[in-house]
Order: sequence, then C-alpha cells, then structure tokens
Amino acid sequence: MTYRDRARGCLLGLAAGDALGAPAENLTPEEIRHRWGRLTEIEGGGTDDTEYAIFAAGLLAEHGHGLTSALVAAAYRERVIPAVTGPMRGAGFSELGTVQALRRGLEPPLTGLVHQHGWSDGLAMRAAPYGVFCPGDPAEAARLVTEDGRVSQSGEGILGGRAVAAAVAAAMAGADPSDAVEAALSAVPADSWTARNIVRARAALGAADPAVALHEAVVVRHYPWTDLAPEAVALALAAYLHGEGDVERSVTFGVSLGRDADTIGAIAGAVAGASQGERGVPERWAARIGPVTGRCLPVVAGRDIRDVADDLATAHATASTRATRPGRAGENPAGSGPPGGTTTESAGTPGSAALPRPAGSAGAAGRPPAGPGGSADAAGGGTAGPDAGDERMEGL
Amino acid sequence: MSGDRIAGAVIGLAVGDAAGWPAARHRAALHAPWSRRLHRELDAFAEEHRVTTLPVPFALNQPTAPLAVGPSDDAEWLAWTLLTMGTPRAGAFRALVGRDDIRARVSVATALDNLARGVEPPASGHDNPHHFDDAAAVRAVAYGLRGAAPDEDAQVTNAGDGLLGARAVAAAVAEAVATGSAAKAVSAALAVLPEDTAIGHNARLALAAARAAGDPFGAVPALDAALLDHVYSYGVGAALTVPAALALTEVSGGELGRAVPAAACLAALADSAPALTGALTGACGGYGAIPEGWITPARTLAGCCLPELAGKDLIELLKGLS
Repeated sequence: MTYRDRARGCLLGLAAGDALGAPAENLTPEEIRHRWGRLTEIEGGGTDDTEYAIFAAGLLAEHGHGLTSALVAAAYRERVIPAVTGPMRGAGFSELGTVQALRRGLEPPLTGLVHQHGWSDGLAMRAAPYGVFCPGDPAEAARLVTEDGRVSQSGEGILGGRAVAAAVAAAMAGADPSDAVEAALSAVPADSWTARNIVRARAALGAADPAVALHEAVVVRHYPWTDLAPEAVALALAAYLHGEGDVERSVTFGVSLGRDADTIGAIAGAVAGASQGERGVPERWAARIGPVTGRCLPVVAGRDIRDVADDLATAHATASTRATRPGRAGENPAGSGPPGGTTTESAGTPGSAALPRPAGSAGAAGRPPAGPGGSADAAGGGTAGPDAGDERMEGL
Repeated sequence: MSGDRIAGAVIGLAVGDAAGWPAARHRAALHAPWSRRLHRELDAFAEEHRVTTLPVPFALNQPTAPLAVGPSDDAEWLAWTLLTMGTPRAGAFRALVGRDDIRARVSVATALDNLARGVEPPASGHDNPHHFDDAAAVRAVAYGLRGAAPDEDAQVTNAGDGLLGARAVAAAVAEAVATGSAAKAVSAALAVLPEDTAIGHNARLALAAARAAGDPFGAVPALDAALLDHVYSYGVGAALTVPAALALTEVSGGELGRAVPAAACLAALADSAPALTGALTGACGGYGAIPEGWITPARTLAGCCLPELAGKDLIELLKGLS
C-alpha cells in the first residue's frame, strides 16, 4: 500500500465516519438501535469534523513542520473570523469561544484557556491530518497538533488531539490497531484523563456487551454536552480496536455508541482508513463523499477530501526531502510551551498552493469574498433551519 | 468559631447567595417536582406564544416559604464543609455517594460518580467536565476562616482553575479576616493566581476594568465586556466568578452593601459571584457591617441541596465549631 493511498484512506475514512455518525449524534445506543438497527448507510453530508480537518490540512500543507500556534491564530483571524458575521454554523463552544478570545486580542495559549470548553473534542476531530503528515513519527504528529490545539483548546482537549494524531501517524506506517493505540497512549501523560479513559475503554472491550461496558467505563453521566475529548477519543479508539482496524466495522460500531457520534465515527474512520488505505473505505460510502459545502467553514467550501489528502501527501514528500526541521528536544505533552529546537522552516514553504485560501482568491472554492460585511450566504446563513448547534441540543 | 469577621464572611456569603436570582430556582427544589415541570412548560409557552411575560418561581398549591428571599446552594455547601472539615475530604465526599436526595454542581456530581467507580482524588476532580467551576472556591471560604489550605478539599471535585479559585478565595478570606483590608485580601488572592492561567489573566483584567470604572455598580458593564464571553451554557466557572468577586471587593473598598448588589447584576454569574463577593466583603467589614435587614433571612438554611441542613442557623452553627 502506498503512502498516498493511506493518506486518502485516512481522510476519506474521517469524512465517511463523520457523515455516517451525524444523524446519531447525541442519541443513546438504544435510540440508534431502535431507529436503524445497525447504522450502516450514510444519509447526508459531513459536519464540522470534515471541514475543520480540511482547514488543518491546509495549514500543514502551507507551513509543514514549521507550523506554529501564532500561524494558526493568524489563519483564524484572516480566514475564519471575517466570515463569522452572524451565527457560526456548526461551531461547538470551543470554536466560538476561540473566535471571541481572538476578537478580544488574546494570543495562544490564552485563546484556548479563557473559554470554558478547552477539553472539547474540537481538536481531536481535526487531528488526523497531522498523523498523515508524519507517518511513523507519532511524536512529531503530536507536537504539530499541539501547535494547532493551543489556539483553541487546553488541557485534555489538546491531549485528545495528540492521541489521535499519534495513532494516525502509527497507522500510516502500517502499525496494527493495538500498536496504534499504544502510540496514542505514548503521546499523552499516563496521569491524564485521556490516558485513563483509553485504558479503561480498551479493557471494557472484553465485556459481554462492549457498548454497555464502554458507556459505563468512560461516559460522564451528569453533564449534558457530549463533546468531551477524553470520552470521544477513548470511544473512537475502542471502536477501532473492536473493528480490528477494518473501516466499516470500526466506524459502524463507533457511531452505534451515540454521544458525539459523528466525531467518534470520524476519528475511528481516520485511524482505520490510515490502516487500510482508500480501498478500505466502502465504495458506497466514498461515493457519498463529495466536495464540502463550507457550511461550517466557508473558507474550505468546494474542497474535496481526496485532493486534500493528495496535497498533504505532496507536502509530506516535499518536507521529507528537506534537510532541516524543528528539533523536538522541548517536546511538551501538556502543550504549555513552545517547541524546543530551532525553527528553520519559515512560513510560505512549498505546498502552499494546497492551502484553502480566503474565499475570493481560491479558484476552486468559487465563493464570493467573505470579508467583514460579507453576505449572509458566505457566513452560512442564519435562517435556513437548525444548525449543528441546534442538532446538538436534540439529544439532551 | 467566633469573631466578627468570621461571622461576617459566612453570613456575607449567605447574603450574596440569597441576593442572586438563581437562589429562588434552587430553593424551588423544595416544591413538588410537578411544580418545576409547570415552570418549564410556562417557559415553553412564552416561546411558543411569543409573549415576553416570563415565568418566575411560583407556588401553586405549594408552600410559599421556599420562595422568600434566602440562601441556597452555596450557603449549604459552605455549611456542610464547616461541619465536616475535620474529616479527610475524600471520605467526607464518599459518605455522599449513592444519595439520591442531594443537589450539587456538575463538578461535585461527577466527582461523586468518580469516587463510586474507584477514581480517587486528585483524578476525581480532574477527570471532570466541570473541573474549572467554583464549587471548591465556595467551600474554600471555610478554609480561609482558619487560615488553612483548601487543596485537599478542592481536589476532590476540581482541578486547574477550579483549584486555583479555591486557593485564591481561601487566601483572600484569610487576609480579610486578619486585617479587614479589601486591598490586602485581593493582593493575597492575586499572589496565588499565575498570570498565564485563565483565572489569573481574568482576575487582573477584571481588576483593571473595575478600577477604571471606579465604582461597583458602574463597573458592571465593563466587567461584562471584559470578562464574559457569553458563549458557554453555564456561568459558574471559577475563572469568571472569582475575578468578578475580587474586582468588586476591591473597588467597593470591602463594602458588602455596594459590592454584592453589583455582583447580582452580572446575571450570567449571579449564581455564585454574589456569594463569593459577600464572603470577601463580609470578612472585610465584619458581621456588624452587614445590613440589618439581610441577616434574618440569610442566616437560616433551606435544605434545598442538603436536606439535613433544613432550618439550620448559620450563627448557631458557627458557635458550635471549635
């Protein structure tokens, strides 16, 4: 299997898992069984998971190993915030909280600290591209995703992203599922909620009814929001183990768990897709994955996840031929400080053509300019029906 | 325990607790469950009929006493802490596990679940979606009165900003009880809040906003603009309520009668910022400085969160403590 094949498998798996799980978000396993039996067919489009992953992949393609939190924050300011003129469709608390912090002039890591949803799975859901970019190097994948995460998350929210990026990096190099999950654990402190949940979830798979045991092991009962990174990541990696790395089995089991089902499906699909390559993603699923609408992030409208994977693979190949990249002596799992070593790679590295540019400058996007005062359409509209925020509420 | 400033901190917290609008909603927990269901239906009615007449806690065939002005969750959890702080904290909380008649914040409810599944402190407070809330900061008033560190208690239910908030409140209360100085109390709190944390950043931001306004009530819009992001669904984050309390304590010069009403006007934070503000300013000014009319309604607990505390008198409770 080629590297490029695994890259496509990973991101197609992410998009398919996102789309498959979307209607099951916030439902209980019993409700999902009642409605679908086993949810195996994609009904509609993907959500924020896919669009934010495309955004992250674009940052990686542009900046490579030189990506920093400051560059990510600049990208939010230039390409995300101008389009948020009304509702920020599809955004969880951490995304809008980050936008508010940036609007107030704060810089990372405070942008991820001052809002109160720092542990959301908003980074974990978009972490897979970092693993794709760093095949066989889980530590570097974790370091890079931390740069992104410090803008919008804190604490366990960053750790969830590290775990996913590391698992994907291992799977991209052919690790089997148990080794990929070990790679995830190696990227987070043992004394963390994320690590404890992954270990507990793994152990729960031995139970007679793994779905029930997984809920008992890691699901927080007295809290109404389900986008907790330690929970979603543990459930997704458990699904990947349960499906023995097979995309369809991993993802369908993952979304059957309910909770943040689209993100669980996206993460399970990404790791399994990295293991199995593009052909590992069921054709009938892949056929449903077209260019994204930009409903959540107008700046990525029109991008096809396959092209994003190819661009990321090209960026990786380019970076691999370069002699230097930041050292990792200052590796910091908590993500509270800048990476050590010298950042010799500057912004504007080759591969920048792959970046989703602000609407108006990207021919592929074909969207009108979305600057301040841009049209309601560019902002995702505000009256066209319930957005993902409303959908999240339905399961409460 | 005795002393004018000690009693001032405890009654001050109860006054602030009672002054915030959520108190009546907590106290309505003493009504039959269908009563609160009707309240939710009236909310839906207002939405459906587009009427701006919003429901308030009401008593249909129910006793009216719970809806009289009075303390609620924060005063009860402080009283529970005062009564149990002689026992190891994990054990004190473990004694609550399995009870279906208590009400507590998300952080506390999750910590009790964690203890039940064998997750011990500090993980019980850390592996917790509301590790950042101010449940421990409220309980920390009890530790501040004794000049003791709140960490062992705080770590059962909180971590991060939630733990720092507890340290800040304990430090401020201890300093206020010792000196009566609002400025020194706030300085003592700032000394334990690192600038690179959300709570440390927000505390300095809130103080700057309040100083610029120069007056507690005048500072309300500035605090709202500087501190609140209005994104998240709950307003009990220690990184918000503790800074608001510190800022209003300082700008009021430690005057409860000026600081608490302003805290109650920060609607999103009104569940606990007034209580914390009342504790800090009550400690500064002492029991004697609390407006006379507030003492009688504030001193008696309702039992809306911990039923065994129904009717408990806070002044008598303090007299019974060594």
